[in-house]
This record gives sequence, C-alpha cells and structure tokens, in this order.
Amino acid sequence: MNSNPLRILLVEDNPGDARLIQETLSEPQPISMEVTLVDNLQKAYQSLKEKPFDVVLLDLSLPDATGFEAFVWLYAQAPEIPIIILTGLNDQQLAIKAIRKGAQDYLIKGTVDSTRLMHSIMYAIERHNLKQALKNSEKKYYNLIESANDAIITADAETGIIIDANKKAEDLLGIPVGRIIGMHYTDMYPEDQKGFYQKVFLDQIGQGKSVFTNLFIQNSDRQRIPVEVSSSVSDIGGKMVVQGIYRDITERKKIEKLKDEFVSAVSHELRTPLTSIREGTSQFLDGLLGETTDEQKQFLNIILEDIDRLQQIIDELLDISKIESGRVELRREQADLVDLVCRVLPRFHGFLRKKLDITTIMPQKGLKLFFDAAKITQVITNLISNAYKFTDEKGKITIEVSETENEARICVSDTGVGISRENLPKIFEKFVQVDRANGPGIKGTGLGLPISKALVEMHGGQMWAESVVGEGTKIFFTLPKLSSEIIFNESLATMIEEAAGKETRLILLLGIIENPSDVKKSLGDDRFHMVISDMKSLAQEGVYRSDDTVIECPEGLAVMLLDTDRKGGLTVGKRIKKSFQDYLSEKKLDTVIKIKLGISIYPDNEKYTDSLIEDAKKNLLEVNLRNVRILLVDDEITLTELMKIKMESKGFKEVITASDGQKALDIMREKKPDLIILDMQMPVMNGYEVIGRLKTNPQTADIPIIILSGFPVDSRKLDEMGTKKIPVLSKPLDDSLLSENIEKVLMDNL
Amino acid sequence: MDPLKVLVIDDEDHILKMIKNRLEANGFLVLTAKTGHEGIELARQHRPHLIVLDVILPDLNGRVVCRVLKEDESTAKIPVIFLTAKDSLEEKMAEYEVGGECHIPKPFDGQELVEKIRRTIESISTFETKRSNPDEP
Repeated sequence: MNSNPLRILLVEDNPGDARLIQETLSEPQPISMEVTLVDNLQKAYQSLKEKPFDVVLLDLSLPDATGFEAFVWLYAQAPEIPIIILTGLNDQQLAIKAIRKGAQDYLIKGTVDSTRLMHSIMYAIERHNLKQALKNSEKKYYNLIESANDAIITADAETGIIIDANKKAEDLLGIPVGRIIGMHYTDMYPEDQKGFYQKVFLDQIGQGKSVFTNLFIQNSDRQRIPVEVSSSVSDIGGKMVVQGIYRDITERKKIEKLKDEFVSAVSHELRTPLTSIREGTSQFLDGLLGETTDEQKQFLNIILEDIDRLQQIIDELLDISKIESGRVELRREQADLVDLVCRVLPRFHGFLRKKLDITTIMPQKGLKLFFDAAKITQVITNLISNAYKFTDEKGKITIEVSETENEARICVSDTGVGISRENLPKIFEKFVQVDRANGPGIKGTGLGLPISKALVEMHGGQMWAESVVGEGTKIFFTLPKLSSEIIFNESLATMIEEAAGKETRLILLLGIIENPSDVKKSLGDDRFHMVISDMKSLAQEGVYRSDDTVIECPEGLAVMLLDTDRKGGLTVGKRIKKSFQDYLSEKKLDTVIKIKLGISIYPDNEKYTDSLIEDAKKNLLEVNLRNVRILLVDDEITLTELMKIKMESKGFKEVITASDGQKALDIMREKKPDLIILDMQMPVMNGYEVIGRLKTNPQTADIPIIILSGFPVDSRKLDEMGTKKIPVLSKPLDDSLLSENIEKVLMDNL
Repeated sequence: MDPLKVLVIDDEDHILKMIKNRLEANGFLVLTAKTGHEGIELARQHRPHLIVLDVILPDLNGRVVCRVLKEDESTAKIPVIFLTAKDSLEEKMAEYEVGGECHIPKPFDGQELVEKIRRTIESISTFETKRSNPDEP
C-alpha cells in the first residue's frame, strides 16, 4: 500500500459543506490523507500549479464559475488529475453530463458517508490511472504508426473500405490521408492487378493468414510503385480488419538491377580478355606458333591451369551471387539421373591426369524424375571433382544412385584423406576450405559445395556429409520425386509472377492430347514418353526464343511465351501444331494420338494458374465451322444459292448472300461475317471498290476475303490498296479447292 | 575435298584472330565478320558449312542474328555455334543445345571448339548428304 498520504484538493465555497466533507475524511481511513481546501476556481487552479494532487473534489456552484463550465474549465487546465463532482440533489443531470465529459464520479452532498467517499476517491484515482495508461499507449501506438518508415493501411475485411492510414501512406500514394480513408483497398492497385490482389486478399481473410509478398501499387500520378507488403488479419472489437504494411522497394529494385548489370558486365569484361589469353597460350602450347621447348611447354601448362582456375573462380562467384539474390530459376524437366551420371563421367576420364578407379552403382532401369539437368550436372561434377582432389592414385571413387518411394538419393564417396569431425560442418560454408594441408595441395574457391548444396535445396532436396579421417568422405544428396502436374503448376505460377513483374503478357499454349490414358495404354509407357519427348523437342524448335518454356503437363505439353502478344502466340501455336501433325503422320501415329492446341493469355484472358489452364482448354486453335458466318457476294444469284446450300450442308453456322457490292456493305454493317467470298465483276459496286472500302474501315479491315472471279484479277490494283495477298479462285469453282482455302484463311485469321 | 568453310562473327579483333588462326591450322577456310549485319550478309553470300557466333555484338544480339539466319531459307540449315561470355544468358542459351546447335562458353578451349565444329558439321551432313554449292552457277 502507498505510504504517501493521498493529496486531495477540495474546491468548495460553502463552509458547511466543506466542513462536512473534511470531517468525513478525518474519520479513521486505511490511507492517510491530506486535504487542501480552496473556495473558488481561481485558487484551485493556483493550488494545482503549486503542488501535485491525487484527486480533486469539485463543487459545481462556485463564486467565480458555476455549473458545468466550472468543471470544463478545470478539466481543461488539469486533465491529468481525476475530478469528482460534488453536487446537490437537484443537480444530478449536470453531474452526469460532467461524467460523460471526463469527470470520474459524482457525489450528492449530504448523502455521503465515509466509506462511500473513500470508495469513490479510490476508484476515481484507479480509473483515471487506467485511462491515462490507455491514453499513453494509444499515443505510443499513434506515434509509432505515424513515424513508421512504411505506409500502414488498415481496411475493413468485410467491405474492403480503408479505415485508417498513416502519414507515410499519404507520401506513398500521393493522396491525403483524409481521402485514402474511405477508398476501397483495390483503388490502390493498377487496373490490371486488381483481380489478382483481390484474390490474394480474399484468400487471406478466408484463412486468417498473414501474407508477405511483392506487388505494385499505383499512386495519384498513375505511376506504378513496387512495394513489399506484409499484411495480417485481426479481430478488433468484433470487427475483422486487414492491416497492411507497405514498403516502397523502388530503390531496392534499382540497386538489384544495378547489381545484375554490374555482375553481367564484369563477367563479360573478364571473360573476353581471358579468352584471348587462354587461346593464345593454348596455341603456343599446341605448336601453332612455332616450336616450343619442353621447359616452355611446362610453363605454358602452368599458365593454362591457372587461367582455368581463374575462370572457375569467376563462374563460382557469379553463381553464388545469383543464388543468393534468388535469381536462379530452375528449369525442371523429366530426365534420367542414371543417364546424367553416365554423361558426366567421361568428362573426367578425358582430362584428368591422375588415374583413379571410378565405380558406379546405379539402378539398371534408370531413374526418371523431374529436375534441372544443367544444375544437377553441375552438382555431380562438383562432387566428383572434389572427391578426385582429395584422393590419391591408389584411391577409389564410388557414385551410387538409389531411390525410395519419395526421393532419389545420390552418394559420391571417396577413399581420400577425409575431414575431421570438427571441420565437417564447415564444408558447406562459403569460402571455407578445410583440411587443405592434408590434401594433395589442390586449390579451390571454397564455393563449390555451398553452391551445390544451395542448388539441391532449391530442388527441395538435402545435402549432407559423412567422413572419417584417413578413410574417406561421403557426400549425399536427395532429390524429391515430384509429379509433372506439380512442376507444371509451379512453373506456370513462376512465369505469371515474372510476367506481372515485367508487366508483360504471358501466353500459355496447351498441347492437349485426347484420352491420354488410352494412348498410354495402346503405346506403352516408354513409347508414350518417347513421343512426348520428341514433341517437346519439336515445340522447343518451334518457339525459337530461348526465354520461352516448353514443359510437360497432365494434358500433354505446355508452352509458355513471355514478351509477345496474341498474334505472336498464335503464330507460334500454329507452327507448333503443324510440326506436331507432320510428326504424328510421319510416325503413323495420327490415328492413335489426337492433339489439340489451346491458348490463353495472362492477364488479358485469365490471371491465375488454374483459370489460365481451363481457359486454354476452351480456346482451341481450330476452325469450328459451327461458329463461322460467311458472306457470299456475287451477282449470279443461281451460283450463290447453290454455294449456300452446299456450304450449309457442310455445317457452316450461317451463309448470307448479297448480289452486289453495295448490298454486301449494307449487310456487313449489321452482321459482321468471319469470311467474305467475293466476285470481282458486279454491277453497282465492283469487287475492287468493295475491298478498298473494307480495308479503309477499321471495323472491317481484318475480315478475311477470298476472291472468286471469272476473269484474271488485276493484282497490281490489289497491291496498290495495300492488301495482303488475297487468295484468288477462278470460276468455274472447284469445291474441294474452295473448302481448303476457306479452312486455311480462317486458320490464318484465328 | 574442298575445305570446310566456317564463318566467325565476333566484334573482338583479338578473338577473331585467335579463332581464325586455330581453325586455319586445322584446315578450315575461315570468313570473319565483326557485326551482325555483316555476318548475315556473308552467310547469305557464301553459305558457310557452319557459323560461330558471339552472343554480344555491337549492332544486333547474337540470338537475333541466329533467328534471322534461321528464318531465311537460304541460310536456315547452316548450324550455328554460339560463343557466350556465360553471363545471365547462360541458362537460356543452353536451350539451343536441344535444337542440335550448341554454345561454347568463353573462355573456351580452342581444340574443343575445333572438335565441336567438326562433330556438328558431320552430324548435319549425315542427314543432308547432298549439299548444293552456291558458288557454282
């Protein structure tokens, strides 16, 4: 209990009332008290300035101020001291009003006994302290939010309306806080990103999760700003709110870009002179520049060795810098791990001077799984060359590949010098070369193992080591067995992210095999995979660009193109489709395997992996006659009627006819056809004029045309109109030629 | 037999000189170009058996040069070997390996380059036994 006396300021002008209170307070109390009596508000104010009080008992009818104003004034002067109102029976309304404005309690004079008074005072002080503590913490919170270096924006989870924002949010968005509050949270995002972020936001609320991601917001000048967002959902007084902390990462992105450019430039600048140095030395050594003595050769060999070492250092420094900045992307494809080891080994037989026994223990049937072959080749090469470095001529290196249900395991073991127990954990640290004194003196960079470990971990695998000094070292790593579906979805998600980051389109072309399980059954698994892998090579040839990805997927094959538009996507799609069909018919598989190509575009059509895949399945690169409307324009009505009947029987959705050019244009204003078959010699308006009018109107410029003419066509006239080559068929008409041309033209205009 | 004709496109004088010397020592006939445009022109005129192409050129990106060559019927079948300074293009370039062509990272081993050129020309000519000679009328 507090040993200091409770300091009470009693403001009461009625001596009788004052005495009564003083007497009540002088009764024995659990705490000692010190009462100061003043009889007007001015004096009360003076006393408060002179010394601290714990509580004020305030009468509301004073000579210098009365009623509610008396309280308001005093409270304003000393908000830090709890005030208890003393009032008469008839003034209760006033007292209640004062409590609403911040008074702690009120007492009705004449009804107060010692216990009640004490009770009131103690509670007033406690309540006031609590309130003060709350106010302080609120203030701390407010200061924290306002002085934060990041924008902090809180939105109502149910409506998405922003209910709070700090000063930094104002700076970031270029919108005053007053106007940010009340905006919908999606108003902060660029138009094309709204859907994506809304989904993220809704998922988050659904699962009550925190999200940490990078995205773009748009400021009042419609500039896109990259931000790092950390957002969380919480329940504040029964209301779900989402609070997001937005950090402007424009600078960081700039620095990352600079670093990339720097690394790339340095790499290029170092390698180019190194190339001449290496090749020059090498030509000396090979005798291309005249005879060299043995001693000269010996030195040239040393130089070559060190050039190679310098090259390796450059490579590894670049590798580690790329891995650390997260800029290494995996290109996982189905491949055989056993094959890979078999392809790596001969590289060692060739140029190693030490003859070492290298044994392999591998499953005979091979081991197929999804991984980035280039990266795993790097890992295995590194492990074998490490083993080689620390093993002497009588030693042995063993490479063992095995599998469990969920993973593949690779172990490279040697009978070399081994690593001591205390040094074993250090071998995966950067720039650490342990027990080098014990080794055969081969120098490295100390980066090979950290890079290998990082690459394996990127695959979702693990790497560890076992070693006994004098007996040898075993390095193990695992690779998880993942399905093509997981890999495909992951890869598509990465590409979407990349496209969003670069603000470019992503075209998904889906090669969909009909009834894949039947095809698999009739061909057998191995043959099926061979066909898929052949088609994958065809698709890879078909994309031309190295940024584009071809990957297996549950539907068959998927091709992902960045930095192009629908037209580019269709061009590639058609090219690939044709090469698939040629391949299948050449292999006489066209009756067994039916493959369709579908296309979907991020962000134009869909924005998420699932919906892009679904959309691509629907948008097939095929001419569906049931959707095609054809306009036949010819003054020979019997001919058009005959053609109409023939075409309708072939399944075209709609065939319209017009007997001259003017009528054709009139019809087109109402119903835009997918294809026009046009006679050139017509009354009222001839074919050339029709084409001229169509091509100058943007609404009709892209409608494909087939010319049908009884007379030779003036091709110079067509060229002058700037039209692309229009197919010309001469009368009398060959039906199959027409069908062929229609299909080709429609395909080209997909 | 006529010597095999190789076109080398690289903007670095030193490297052109080195490669030319190495290839000539191995019996090749060597044409050199210092820009992409010049390279494309020489390829169309002389139709070499193979092109060694640096990725970074002053005017066009090597990948663009390759694409132009592949899209032109007269040069589409000439195999291209890329020289790369193995920067961030490295992984992307590796894809060309799949297409039958390859890339050699700088710095390279001259004798390896020779072997790779020989192997590539051999593997192409087994598919294409008949090769039209553009120098003849």
